[in-house]
Amino acid sequence: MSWLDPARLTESAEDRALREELRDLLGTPASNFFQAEVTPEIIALAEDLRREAERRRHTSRQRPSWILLAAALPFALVLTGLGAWGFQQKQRADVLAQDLAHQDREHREQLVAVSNQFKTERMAREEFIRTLQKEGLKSPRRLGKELVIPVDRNPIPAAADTQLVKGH
Amino acid sequence: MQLLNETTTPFGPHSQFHEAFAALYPRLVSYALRYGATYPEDIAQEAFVILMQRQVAVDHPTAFLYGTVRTLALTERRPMKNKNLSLEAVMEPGRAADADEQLLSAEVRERMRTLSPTFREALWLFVVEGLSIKEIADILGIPQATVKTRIHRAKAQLRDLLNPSGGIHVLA
Repeated sequence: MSWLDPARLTESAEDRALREELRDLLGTPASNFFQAEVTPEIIALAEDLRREAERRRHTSRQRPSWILLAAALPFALVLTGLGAWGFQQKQRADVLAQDLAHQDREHREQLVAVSNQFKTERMAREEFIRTLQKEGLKSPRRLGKELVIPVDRNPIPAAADTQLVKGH
Repeated sequence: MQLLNETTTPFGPHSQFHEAFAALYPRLVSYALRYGATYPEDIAQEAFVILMQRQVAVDHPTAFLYGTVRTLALTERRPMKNKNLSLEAVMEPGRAADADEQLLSAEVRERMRTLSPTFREALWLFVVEGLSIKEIADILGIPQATVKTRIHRAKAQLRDLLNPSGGIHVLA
């Protein structure tokens, strides 16, 4: 019988012997298990079941494409929207981070420049002070040789109708 | 992986499917009845429809049918769990007397009844249904070695039953 499963067709002799032994123990008669009369009623029932299986196979084929698509569409839209929003936010964050880094770099460069300038000025001032100090030590003090202009405290005669206010 | 179309069946051409259906259908009805199914014919027919509905061919169609009938019959009984019915009760031969009577004599039924349900199931499929070790392993979802172990233990229990005094009757 060609429709039999390969598993049974290739059954080992040991398994067949075991089955015969158990059949003897149980006292069951030896029988050809899978031989039966094929009647028109059996054929009609088999064909009915085959057609039912075909019908189910065709109906079940269409179901996933419609229902799955319809069910997955809202989720797909939500996921796409969230993804786009997230991507946009990430782009903005990247741009802001780049700007911030650029500003930070500029500030650092300015700070370095100012610091260098300050250092240069300080060195120049210190150099100037040192030069002055050296110059001061080298030249003798010229005290008493400055030009002195005597001050006359009453150069202008007092007017008749005026009152003299004491000054400093 | 073999794909099925409308001109072929899991058993080959239509004529071979009819032969397979004629041979297997009464056995599957009886098998469903053993599990205490209320509508064993419906379960056997549904198993055939499920098998034929598959786009991809199964390796062992007979084992697939028996396994599907077993699952459907147990599922049908599931609502009765609240009534404290277990698989042990389902597998009691007394509950499936109608099915056994169709295939086995009273003496054989009595011998089967003495076995533990686990061993009895493997023995039934191997001896009464004529299935191979590989098919039984597929149906029960256990390794082939376990099936063999169960069958050999069932054999040992049967021997003990037939020879309770340790072989005296053989000597006699």
